[in-house]
Amino acid sequence: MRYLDENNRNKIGLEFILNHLDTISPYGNIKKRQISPIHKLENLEEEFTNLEFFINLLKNNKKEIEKVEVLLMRLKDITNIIKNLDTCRILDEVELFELKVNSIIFMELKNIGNSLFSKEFHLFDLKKLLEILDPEEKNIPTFHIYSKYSEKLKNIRDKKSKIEAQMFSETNSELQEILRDKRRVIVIAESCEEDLIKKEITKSLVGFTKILTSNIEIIKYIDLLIAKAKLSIKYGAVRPKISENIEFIGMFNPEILEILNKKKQRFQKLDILLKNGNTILTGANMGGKTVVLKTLTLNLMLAQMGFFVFADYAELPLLDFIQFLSDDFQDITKGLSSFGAEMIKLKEITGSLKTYKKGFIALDEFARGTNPSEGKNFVKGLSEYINKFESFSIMATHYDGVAGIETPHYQVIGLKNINFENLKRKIDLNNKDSVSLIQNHMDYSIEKIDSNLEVPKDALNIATLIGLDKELKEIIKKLY
Amino acid sequence: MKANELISRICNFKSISIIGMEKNSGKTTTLNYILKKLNSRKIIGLTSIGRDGEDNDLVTNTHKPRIYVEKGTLIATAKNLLNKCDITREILYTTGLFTPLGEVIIVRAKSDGYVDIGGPSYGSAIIEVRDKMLELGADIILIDGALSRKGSANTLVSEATILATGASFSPNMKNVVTETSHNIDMLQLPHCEPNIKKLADQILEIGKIGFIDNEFNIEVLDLSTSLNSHREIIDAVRKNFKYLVIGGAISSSMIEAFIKNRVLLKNFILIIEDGTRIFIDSNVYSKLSMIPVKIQVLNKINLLCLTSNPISPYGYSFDSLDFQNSLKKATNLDVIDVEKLEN
Repeated sequence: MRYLDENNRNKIGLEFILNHLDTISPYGNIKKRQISPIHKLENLEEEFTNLEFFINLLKNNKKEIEKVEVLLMRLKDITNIIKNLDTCRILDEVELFELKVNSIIFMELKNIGNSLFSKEFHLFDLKKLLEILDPEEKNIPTFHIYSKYSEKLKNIRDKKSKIEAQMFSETNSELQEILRDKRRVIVIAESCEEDLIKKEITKSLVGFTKILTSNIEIIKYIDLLIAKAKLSIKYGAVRPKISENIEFIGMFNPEILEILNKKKQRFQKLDILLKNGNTILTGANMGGKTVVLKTLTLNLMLAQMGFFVFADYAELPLLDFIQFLSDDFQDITKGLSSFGAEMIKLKEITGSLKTYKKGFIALDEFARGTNPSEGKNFVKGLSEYINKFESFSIMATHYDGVAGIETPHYQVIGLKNINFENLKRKIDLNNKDSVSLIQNHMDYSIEKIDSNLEVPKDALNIATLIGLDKELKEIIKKLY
Repeated sequence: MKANELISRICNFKSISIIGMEKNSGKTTTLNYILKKLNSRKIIGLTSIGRDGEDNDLVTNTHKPRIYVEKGTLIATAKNLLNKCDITREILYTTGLFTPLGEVIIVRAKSDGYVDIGGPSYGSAIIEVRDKMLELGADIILIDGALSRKGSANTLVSEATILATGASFSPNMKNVVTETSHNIDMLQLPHCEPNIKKLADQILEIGKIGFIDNEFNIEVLDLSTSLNSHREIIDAVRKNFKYLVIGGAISSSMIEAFIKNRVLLKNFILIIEDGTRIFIDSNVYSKLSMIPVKIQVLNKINLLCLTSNPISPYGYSFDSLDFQNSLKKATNLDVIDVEKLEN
């Protein structure tokens, strides 16, 4: 997959975003399922501009948008009816009803929308179509084969109603039976005439399929943009600037934000700048390196799909591919070792690097499944290799000195500024909850550091906090 | 009771279900009578729970009477049955509820005529259709049901119920009267005590099946239905338990399992949601009563009256008055002979 496989899309929180993208019409739901990365710069910019437009509408024309939403909610999917028209299948009365009711809604949408939206969102007029389906000009959302369609039908129905009146007052059962037989003949005539009319109406409707389909396409897009705009407003997303580098200020991940909110914890927003080539990310255990990678990948992915990004400010280029490499348990269950699974994925990544001009790769603890000295060589080698391309990559790693001084290096602050003795004392008082206490004191934000610095050696500290056996701790300490 | 009194009784409700004991029990005749008499007073909405079988009775080869509605009536029926309705019709609403015969469509009759009704087959969908028809202007909803689909009598679905019985059930009048009276007993099972109802409601909020002990503590079993869970239910019984509360349907094999474990369940009170949830014949019921196990309900069904059809299409008939009186004596309900309903 050029832009993340499904497993990784879930992992980074994209599924969460799509689940919170609330399209309300059947058309919007279809459009939502079709969301995919946009490859052309002008298309992406256009999408952003449209989204911006709808965000402003939601803020400034709340009432009108609410009316639009009520109308969208009432829509039913009539694409099958249009297909029937296109293939000249005669519509039955229920289909004609659906066509009429939905066309009335289209017209109501048009009346609100055409004064609200920019021109590309203007719906086409269906007055002529409604004239056909509403010959009595009653303008109510019901339908029947109106007597007005044919003089003959009117006559048949008049006769039918006369006989029914006679039947109602007739008490003699023999005479009743005669009337019933008479009525049966009329009913058949009515049904035949109705069939003829249905055929005629269908014929006259065939010419409308194009504008109906165009209207549906516009409605699909309006529904999706309202949903996107609502999501942007809810979390405070911004329009990314298309530029050479990847830069985020105050970046966050809504799914993780919600999880932390539930635990009454705060998401520490991230600032990061990536230039093409590799960037190294290090940090303590439990320090949230993976969160950084997920959040960055999610926001890049969303931007490619025409969403605003979750940050205070963002710059990014158009990306030809986005890859995420981590311990992939799905592949492991297929019988591969974690290292084997990584190598298969790596093949895909090097392939993408060679095929496309500019992409993005996140690597989470690459080559940790093999012995550390070889693993380090793999990481070092891959870093050097990636630097040859125009693509971006970020590697979260435990290994020291895998990249030269020219490779930018970020570090999760973690427990760097914490007094371990104090924290240990707190934990001893409340032994049960050591993990969440550590999490509370962990600083998940990242800072840029000098590449020569060693990766933090917090493993022993954290193990001690969680409650490492004292004797074992002393033995390990001697080995440092 | 006189027939016109039936109509004034019906007028007190917004939803009525009409259920037949058996084919040819005169249900459609009853329904047609009500439709005709009510039409001048009320806008009627008509639907059914599921659908009655063929137009011709395959066993007796008799033509079943068809439902005849008058202009102005609202009808909710499956799309594929619309062609079988010979009324001139106006489509009012498509419900989005599907049956094997297509989506349920609500139409208004623009002429009198015969209709073929096939509504949704489950309660919550019937409720949706009922409420939509009321919203579209109907004053009263009639729901055509059958004993095998007696969910339509469920108090959530309809406020009151009419039961149709007839000679077609058995050539032996005594049998007809006994089974009719048993079915009425089942539909009209007594309410449980208010304090027990509270506890039972609690149980049904948490799960489907539970017990109340003699100190009024509740215990809820982790079972989603009583069907095929006889063993688990019986095994869970403890000495101090007094009430067994079962939500949803209770099959006759469940009751058979109770009878087998009669010592364990002696003096138990079985509490069910309402009389439409239990499917047992009079034999099993009397065995159950002998243990003794009593059955009580959370919601009692409001039976308006019983209609009787003394004529069977199988070629025999009962004496109308005799039949009517026997039914009245056995059931304590008002009985109307459908043959006398015509016109």
